[in-house]
Amino acid sequence: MNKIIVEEENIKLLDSDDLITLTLSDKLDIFDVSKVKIDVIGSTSIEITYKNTNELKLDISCFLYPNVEASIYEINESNNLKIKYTYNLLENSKLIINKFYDVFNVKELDVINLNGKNASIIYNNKVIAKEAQKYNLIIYHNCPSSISRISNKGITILDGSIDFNVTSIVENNIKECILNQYNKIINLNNKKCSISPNLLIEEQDVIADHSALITSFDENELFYLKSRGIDEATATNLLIHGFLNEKSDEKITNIINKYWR
Amino acid sequence: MHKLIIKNLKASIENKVILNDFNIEINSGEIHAIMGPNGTGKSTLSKIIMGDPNYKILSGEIYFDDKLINDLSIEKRAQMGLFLGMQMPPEIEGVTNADFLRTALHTKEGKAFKLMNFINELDKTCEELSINKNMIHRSVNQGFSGGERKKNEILQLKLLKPNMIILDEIDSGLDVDSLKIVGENVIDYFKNSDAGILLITHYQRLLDYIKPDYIHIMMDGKIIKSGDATLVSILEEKGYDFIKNELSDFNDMKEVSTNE
Ligand SMILES: Nc1ncnc2c1ncn2[C@@H]1O[C@H](COP(=O)(O)OP(=O)(O)OP(=O)(O)O)[C@@H](O)[C@H]1O
Ligand SMILES: [Mg+2]
Repeated sequence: MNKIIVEEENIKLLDSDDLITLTLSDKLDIFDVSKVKIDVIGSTSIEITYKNTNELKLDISCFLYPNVEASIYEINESNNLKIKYTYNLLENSKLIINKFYDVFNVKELDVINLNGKNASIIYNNKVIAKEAQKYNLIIYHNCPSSISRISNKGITILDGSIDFNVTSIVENNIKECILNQYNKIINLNNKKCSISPNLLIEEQDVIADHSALITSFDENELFYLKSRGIDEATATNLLIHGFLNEKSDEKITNIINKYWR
Repeated sequence: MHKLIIKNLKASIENKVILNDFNIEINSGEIHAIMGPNGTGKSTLSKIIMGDPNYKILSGEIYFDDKLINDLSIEKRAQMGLFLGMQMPPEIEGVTNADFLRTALHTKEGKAFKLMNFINELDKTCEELSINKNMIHRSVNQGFSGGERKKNEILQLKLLKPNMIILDEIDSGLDVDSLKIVGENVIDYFKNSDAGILLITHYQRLLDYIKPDYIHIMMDGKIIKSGDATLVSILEEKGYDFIKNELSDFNDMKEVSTNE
């Protein structure tokens, strides 16, 4: 598997299978942002790990060639993050992204361009927010029969707050697209959070749905768990693992266990 | 020997009194059935016994095994051996049934918990209940059919081995075959344990499998009439209003006779 490691502003590619190429522009732009370009030319998977104590400013663009099926798995344990992602998907390409953030402060912009027929993206973002975090996602369905399934899940602790702003766009005559948005925040510290799910659809021939929810833990669920003899702390732990780590990923388990034990 | 006693219980939710002067006593080896019209407070009663903090006890007492449990936490009640099979068990996203059951059993058994034993017993119990094994690895109740949810409640019952069992409309949503399976599993557990049962139901057919010693008719938050199983046929034939009217006629007569 291709491993990209971003550590204290050094970016390395390890174990490359030559199905991706990584291009770093050596020049920072006027805002001190480092630029990274990832070309995915064949079906493969990529793991990206971030560990940065300084503020990380990155502009990453990722290009999927036609017919390529790729997955990106990301764990980000940086302190502060300003990041822009651009994903460009060509005909019949498919991208699955699973991201997990254990970060203090985040400002993120994701631009997803579905630039080929049948291009499809599954985007799962999970975050533990310890300070203010803002996520802006824009999904352009530029070609017919393109599919986007977007899921954003977050939990706020300490001084954390979350804004998920997700906009899916289909212009007229781009037919048979499928758009799906799921956004949920479990707000454990009563800081102000927001979810703005926007579906800007001009075309009639689409299937679109979305859900947005900001809650604390569900009282019925807690009652149910406790009624089987499970104490409050353990019940909470189960619900958090269920929410953020339904596949029981070991790395994510370890991160969650730092906060809930 | 286990004993659940409820004395003069008055309880409310959002300032609306639901239970009023409710009384019952259930001992090990006894099966009680409560029947009553929709919205009369049966599920409320079951949740209050289990300790749901949304409901407020205004007066009265709940004793379990001679301990006053009015203010006891939900989990402590469960650990004492109370079990509530719910009318509408919730879905829990991302938490698999297996994780849920393992955690519950681990909490109950502490150091004595053995994973292998758990897996074996889970397997066996799924077979006894004709539960599809893939349900174990799915999120708790998520996408389960009405009947599957009810079977899942009985699965938990059989693993947790409680000694005071409340089953709130465990028959609703079950097809005839599943009703038989659920009925037989509950009665089988009951016979091999020291438990008491409180059944809440609308229908006779569950009572064909789980034969109650006592039937209680509940209306407006209290038991208005108790009797044996014959009460059910009167009820099925004539309805709740008949029993209510009969009782008020009787009370009127009492009033007349005391006025004289
Ligand atoms: N959370 C709540 N908020 C407000 N009212 C409630 C709440 N829970 C229950 N009630 C009310 O309490 C009354 C009793 O409800 P309960 O669910 O106990 O009835 P039930 O006897 O179980 O009825 P059914 O046979 O339909 O299951 C109803 O009028 C119901 O609307
Ligand atoms: Mg009910």
